[in-house]
Amino acid sequence: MLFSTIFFIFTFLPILLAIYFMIPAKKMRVRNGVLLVASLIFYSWGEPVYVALMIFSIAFNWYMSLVIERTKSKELSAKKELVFTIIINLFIMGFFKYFGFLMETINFVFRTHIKYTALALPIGISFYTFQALSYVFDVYKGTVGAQKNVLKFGLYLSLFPQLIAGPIVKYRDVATQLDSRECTQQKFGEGASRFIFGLSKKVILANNLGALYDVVTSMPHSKVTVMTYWIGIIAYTFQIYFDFSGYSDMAIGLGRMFGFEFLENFNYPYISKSVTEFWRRWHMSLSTWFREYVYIPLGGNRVSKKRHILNLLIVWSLTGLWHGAAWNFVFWGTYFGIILVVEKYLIGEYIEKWNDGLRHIYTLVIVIISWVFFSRPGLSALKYLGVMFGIGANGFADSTTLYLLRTSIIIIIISAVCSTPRVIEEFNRISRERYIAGAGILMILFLLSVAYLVYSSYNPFLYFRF
Amino acid sequence: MSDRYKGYRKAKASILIKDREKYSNIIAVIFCITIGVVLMLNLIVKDRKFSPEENRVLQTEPNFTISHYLDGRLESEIDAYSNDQFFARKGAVRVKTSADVSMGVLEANGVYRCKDNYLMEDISSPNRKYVDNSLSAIKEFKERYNNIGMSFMLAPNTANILSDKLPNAVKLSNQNKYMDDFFSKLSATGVKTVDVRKPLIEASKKRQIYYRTDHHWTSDGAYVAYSKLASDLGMDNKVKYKPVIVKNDFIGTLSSKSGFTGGKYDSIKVFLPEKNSGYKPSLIYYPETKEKTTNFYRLNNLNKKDAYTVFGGSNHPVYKIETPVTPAENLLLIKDSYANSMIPFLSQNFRKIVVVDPRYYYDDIDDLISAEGITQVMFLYNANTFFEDNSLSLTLTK
Repeated sequence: MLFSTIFFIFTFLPILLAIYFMIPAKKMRVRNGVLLVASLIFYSWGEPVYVALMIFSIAFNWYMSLVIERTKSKELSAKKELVFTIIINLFIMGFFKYFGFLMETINFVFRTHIKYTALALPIGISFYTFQALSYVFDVYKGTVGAQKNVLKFGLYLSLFPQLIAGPIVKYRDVATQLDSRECTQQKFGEGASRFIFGLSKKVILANNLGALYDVVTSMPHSKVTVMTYWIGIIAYTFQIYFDFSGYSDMAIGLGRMFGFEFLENFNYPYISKSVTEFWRRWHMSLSTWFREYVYIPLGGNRVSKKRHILNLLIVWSLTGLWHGAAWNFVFWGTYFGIILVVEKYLIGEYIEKWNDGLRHIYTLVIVIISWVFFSRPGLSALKYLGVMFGIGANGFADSTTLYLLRTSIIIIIISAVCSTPRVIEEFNRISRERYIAGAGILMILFLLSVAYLVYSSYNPFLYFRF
Repeated sequence: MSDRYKGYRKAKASILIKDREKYSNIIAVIFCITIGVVLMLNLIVKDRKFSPEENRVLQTEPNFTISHYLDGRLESEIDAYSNDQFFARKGAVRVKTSADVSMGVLEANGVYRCKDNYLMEDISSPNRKYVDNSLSAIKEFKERYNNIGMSFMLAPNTANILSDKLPNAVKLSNQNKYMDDFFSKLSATGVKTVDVRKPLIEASKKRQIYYRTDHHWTSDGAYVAYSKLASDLGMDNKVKYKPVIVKNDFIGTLSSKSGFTGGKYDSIKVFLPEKNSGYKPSLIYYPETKEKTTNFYRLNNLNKKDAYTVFGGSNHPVYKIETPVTPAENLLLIKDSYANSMIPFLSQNFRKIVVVDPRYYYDDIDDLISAEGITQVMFLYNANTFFEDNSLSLTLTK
C-alpha cells in the first residue's frame, strides 16, 4: 500500500487510528499487536505472497540474534553465526533484487544466452534487510541486547510507516519505544502536520515535476535543445528530492502519530556547499548505515591513504548498487565516490576559499549531473549529457523550450524555494504566533493534495471524435 | 557516537517544534475529524455507476474474494473504487484544475487553454497509413461510380482557423500543410475538393464560428461552410435563415475532457428559415429506431450533458432525409459529426439525402447506392477526425 492514495488516507488510516486509540495506553502489548497486524496487512497489499518472506526474515533474524548473543562469550563462534546471518540476509535480498541483473551481466560478458526470469522485487526489501542487518550487527557488537520477544522484533522490522521507503531505522534508536512510548495530542498533531507536508511534497510537487520530466524525455532525442534537457533534469532533480523526502516526512509523521520518534532522513541537501556536505544531508539513514556497518569495519580513514581511497570507492559503489540492480546505479555511486575522494585529497582546501555562491553552484552541477546517470540507463545518459553541453543538440532553445519554461517556471520556483529551510521556518513562526492561520495553511495543502490524488483517476473517455 | 550522527540528532532537534502546542493540538483534532468524516461520507454517499463528465463506467464495489486478493487485483480495484467513488470527486477535479491553471498549466488531455476563453484540441498529425488507405479507397470508389459526381469537404479545426488565439509559446502542427497535401492528392482522383478555410477565416473576424468549449463549429461556422459549398457546386442558396439562440450555457466536450472551466459558456444557435423564403420542410427517417420526424433539431437534448446532440441526435449509422425540392437529386452524405449542423441547410438542395457515418455503418454501400438511386456523393469530415480515421476505407471498399 502507498501513503499517497485515497484508500490509505481515508480508509486504512482512520480505521487503524480508531482501533489503536480505543485500546488503553497501558495495554502497550495489545497496541503493538494491532500495529503488527496492520503492518502486515499494509505490506501484503497487492503482493500477498511476499509477506511470507517478511515473516521468514523476522523469525530468522530474531532467532539468529539470540544465538549470537548466547555465543558471544566465544568470540569465534559468534563471528561464525554473524557471518552466516549476514550471508542469508544478503542472499535473500540478492536473489530477489539482483538475480536478473546478474544473469544479464553474465550473458553479456560471456556472450551466452542463458534463459532466466527476473523476479518481481518484494517492496521495501532493501530497507528492511538493512534494518535487520543493523540489528544483527549491533547485537554482535553488544551495542544493544537481543530482543527476546519475537512480536516486538517483528513490529520493529515491519512497522508500516518506514517499511516501504525508509528511513532505515536502527533497532537501538527505537528499542525502548517498542516497550513504552508517549502518545500525546500535541505529538499526534505534530505527526499529522508532518504527514500532510510530506504528502504535499509528493503529490503537488514531485508528481507534477515527474510529469514534466516525462514530457522532456519522451521527445525524440534529435529534436531536443540544450535548455530543454536542462529543464528536464532540473525537474527530475526536484522530483527525486520531494518524492523521497516527502515519503520520509510521511513516515516520520505517521510514526509520531503512533508515538514513535524516527531520526531525520533529509536535511535540505540542495543547500549544500560541497558534495561531502550533500551526502551529510541526503538520505542520512542510508549514508550513516554504510558508514557504520561497511566503511568503519573496513578501517575507515584510520588506514593508509591508498587503502582509504579504496574504502571510499567500495562503499560508494555498494551504495550505488543498493539503489538498483543496474550498472548505471553502480556508476552513479562510484561517480560520487570519486568526487568525494577528489574533494578530500585534491580540491577540498581550494573549494573552501571560494565564495558561498560558487560553492553552491559547483555542488548543484555535480549533483544534477549525477541524476542524469541515475535516471537514464546506459548510453542514453551519455547522449542526454551531451545535449546538455551542446553536443548533438538541436540548438540552444526553441518554441518547445519556451512552452516548457512558461508552463513550469512557477513549479520550479516553488520547488527551489521549498528546497531551502526558509519556507518551513516561516511556517513554523506563523504556526506559533497565529496558530489558526497555520492550521488554515496546512488544511489548504491537505485539500490540494487530496484533489490531486482524486484527479489522478480522472480519466475522461469521450466520444471525442464523434 | 560519530560526528555525523550528532549532526543529525541536531537536525532533528531543530525540526521538532516544542513551543507550538496550540497549533499541534488543533491539527490533531482537525485531522482526525477530517479523515473520520470523509470515511463516513464515502460510506454514506451512494455509489455512482457512471460519470457523465468522463463518459465512462466507474468502479463499483470491489470483489472481495481470496483469489482476487492473492493475485493483487483486489488492491487495484479498491484503489480505483476509493478514487471513483470519492464523495466530492467533482469538487476535487475542480480544485485540481484551478490549482493547475494558477501554476500556469496550459494543456490537459490534449486540450489547450487559449486566449479569449477558447479551449482548443491539439492538431492531430495524419496517420499516414490510414490516410493512404482512405485515398486509395476513394479513388477506387470513384472509378466504380464514374458517372456519379463526388465532392469532399475537409473542415479545418479551431486551432487552425483561430491559431492567433493559441497561447504564445504554443506551436501546434501545421494543419494547413496536411490539408493542402491531402487536397492535391484527392483532386487527382476526380473527386471535387471543397476548401472552406478562406471564408471561415473571413467570417471569424465578425462572428464566432467555433465553440469555445466544444470541438465543433457553431451553426454560423456551418452556414459559412455551406455557402461556400453551394457556390462551389453551383447549388441554389436562396433560402434566408434567422439565427435563434436555444441555449446560453452550453459546456462542450473540450471542457469535460480537460477539466478546464472558468471560461465563458457557449450559446447554441439554430438557423430557422424566414417566412416565405421558399423553405420546404423535410421528413427524416431513422431506420434503427424506425422513427419518423420532421424536426432536424432535438430540443430535448439541450438539457443533456452533450448539448451538441441537438443537431440530429448522437451517432446514427445511417438515416434518410426527404424534401420535396427540384431537381430530383439523391445525395449520399458520408460524414462525421461536423456535418450534423449543416445537414438542415443541405436538405434544401436534394430531394433525398442518405446520411452515412462509416464508424457505425457496417452494411454494403453498393447495395445502398443502387437501392436509393444515388446521383451524388459528398464527404464531409473535420481534419482532426479524418486524419486519424480508418473506417472510411472499410466502408468504401468492396
